[in-house]
Amino acid sequence: MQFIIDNNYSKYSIIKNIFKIILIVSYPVQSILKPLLLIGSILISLNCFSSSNNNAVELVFISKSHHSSVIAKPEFVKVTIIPGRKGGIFNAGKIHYRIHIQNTFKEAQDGTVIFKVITDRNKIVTGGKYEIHINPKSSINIRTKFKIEESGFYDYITQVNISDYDDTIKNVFAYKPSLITSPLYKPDDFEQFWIKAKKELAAVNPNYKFYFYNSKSTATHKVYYVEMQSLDNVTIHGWFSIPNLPGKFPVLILLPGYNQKFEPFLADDQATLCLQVRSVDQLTKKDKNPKNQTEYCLVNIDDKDNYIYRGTYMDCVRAVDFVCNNYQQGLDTSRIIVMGGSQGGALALVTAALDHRIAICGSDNPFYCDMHSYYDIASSKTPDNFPIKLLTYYYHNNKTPKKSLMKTLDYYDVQNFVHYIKCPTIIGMGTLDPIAPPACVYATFNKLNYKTKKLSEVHILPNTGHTITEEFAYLKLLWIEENTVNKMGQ
Amino acid sequence: MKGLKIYLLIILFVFLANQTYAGFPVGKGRWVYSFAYNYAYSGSSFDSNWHNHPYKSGTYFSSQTYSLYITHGISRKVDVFALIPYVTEVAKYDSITLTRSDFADALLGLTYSRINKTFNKTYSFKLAGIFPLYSGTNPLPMGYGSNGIDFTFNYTNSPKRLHSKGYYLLSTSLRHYFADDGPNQLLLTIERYYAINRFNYFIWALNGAFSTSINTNTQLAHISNKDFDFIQGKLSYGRRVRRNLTLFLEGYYTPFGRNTGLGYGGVLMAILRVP
Repeated sequence: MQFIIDNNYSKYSIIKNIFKIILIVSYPVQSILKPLLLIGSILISLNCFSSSNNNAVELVFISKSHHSSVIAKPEFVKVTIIPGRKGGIFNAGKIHYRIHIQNTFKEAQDGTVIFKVITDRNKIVTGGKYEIHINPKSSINIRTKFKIEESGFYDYITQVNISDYDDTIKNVFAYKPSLITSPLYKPDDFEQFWIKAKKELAAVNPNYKFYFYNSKSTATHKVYYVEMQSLDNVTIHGWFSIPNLPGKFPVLILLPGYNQKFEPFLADDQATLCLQVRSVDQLTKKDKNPKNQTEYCLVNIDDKDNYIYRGTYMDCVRAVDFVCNNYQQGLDTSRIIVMGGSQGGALALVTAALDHRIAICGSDNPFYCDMHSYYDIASSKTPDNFPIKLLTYYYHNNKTPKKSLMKTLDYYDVQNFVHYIKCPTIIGMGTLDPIAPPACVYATFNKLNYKTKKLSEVHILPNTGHTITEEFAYLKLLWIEENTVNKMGQ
Repeated sequence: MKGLKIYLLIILFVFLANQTYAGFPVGKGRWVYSFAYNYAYSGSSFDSNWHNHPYKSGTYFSSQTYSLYITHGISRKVDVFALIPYVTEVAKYDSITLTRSDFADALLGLTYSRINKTFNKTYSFKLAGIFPLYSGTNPLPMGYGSNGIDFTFNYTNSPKRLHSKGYYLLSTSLRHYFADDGPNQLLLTIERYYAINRFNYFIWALNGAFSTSINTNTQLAHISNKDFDFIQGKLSYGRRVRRNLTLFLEGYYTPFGRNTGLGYGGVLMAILRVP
């Protein structure tokens, strides 16, 4: 492990001062250069060539002004944690970080900086402590460099305790994520289990119904509330919208997050089906919720054949049936896209695995991935978070052994499905996500079969929790658009 | 014969070409075909002092242009494009009417686009070669008759994030023709694209063309003028009529100019995306 402390100047401040000197020296020729400078400054202001560190974490402590009668510039200490690789993704070599501390106070800052590297199962791998002194109105850089043995996601924790600042900052980095593996707890009868479920679904008459919804329709889109029968004859619903234009439209099936209620989604270039999967109430009314469980993910969790997600996964397959059966509405059934986030992300992956009529799959922060690792990670780091809290609560209160619970979940673990996916797939994950920990999601991505992985993309979103960034949202749409175009060419 | 200028329609091709997708990348693997019909008419001209003088009665210049603009997305950021115009020109003065139908200057080039992180600003750089698809100037010239190069920078900003909901376009083109007397040209466009709704669009634009050359001879009839300026206003309405087909109807007018014709005209354009 190495560390270096640069006092007073960062590279940036040196460049800034050189630029200032150039400006002063070149004043006489500036009149000639003015037009060029103007164009340059416009381009810079438009952020045309910006190369900002999108994964740096900044924390600022601002002091109160000491002089009430004079408007003084606020004084602050700013701590920035900058990983040595973009997005904090290290695919080889040592891990290196720079801790930049800026002090704009008129007083010097003294104290300590401690950094720790912690595994996702909360074990300290390495760390260090530095005594620091920062001169008034200056900055320092602390460079840390260390070796990691195993691939995975690690927390880089920085504790800064100096005269006018005391805080702890968390950054997450990935080390060789493409090598992350996890044991596969796939039941021997996994394939038969789902073939049987699909057979049962096929035996249910879908009885598709369309209700034109005038109040939700617009001049450009027709909106329908649709209804169909799914597994166990449960009625499921959805909002179906289609652009009011001639032509065959690709179809986007949006799958819901946990307890999410959809509104119609009007896309410019696609017909969309926002699926409302079965609800707990529906199962209760059909006497299929014997324990009167109110929490969705716990309904019949100790019975693999009646766990709610068996029906939920089949609801998604029924949505694909709906699209294919109603192609005459102007639907291009060769281009069906499934998309969703969180639970919806898991449903999207499972649907693409169970039904090869899906052409493109987009999954954000899918939960229920690599459940055994998830259980270990979440119990050690975020035991109070969803869904670990519910699962722990359940097996404590129902005296169901954890092993038995996990046996059911093995039939529903997304990582057991993804090997069957054949279509291009894009997955996004937040490094700070406690519900879909990045190690679990990445391990799931790594289980895509070789052919599919070549067509697919995975994105690690630095400093992001159980959500996605705006940047990734647009990138995903662009990627889906590109793949939609490519599907047409086939 | 004085004042019959044909440069107006030559420049028009550029503005037409730029309008298709406004510098947005068309998308990897996608083809975009833009078919346009343009009618231009000039019944008077501007002198070197920006003063307008009507032609003698019965004297005018008109042109009908059929153009095909093809763009193909090679990658997410790089497109290749080509513009092929076919023009019918009519110059009428006194009792003489001259007409010529031929291909004009073609463009072939590449566009590199960069989109910002929130996908509401696009910067695109176009580099294109200009290739005359005709020879001679008899009875009328179809252009300058020499090869050239065009560099265009486009900046678009969509205030509502998605460019389908409207955007601003700022475009700057620098052109150079490889003849001894050039010309060198600067073409500027400011465009505002409004989405009335998802399928109906309204566009206004201001185009400026500034052409300089050591050849300042503007007295000869039928010779493509190389030293001129003009400012043109444009209004356009677009409607998406199929999933992959959008039609535009456009009118333009040239209220200010130097050594150029006072022209107006209309364009009917169909933009087809495949797939």
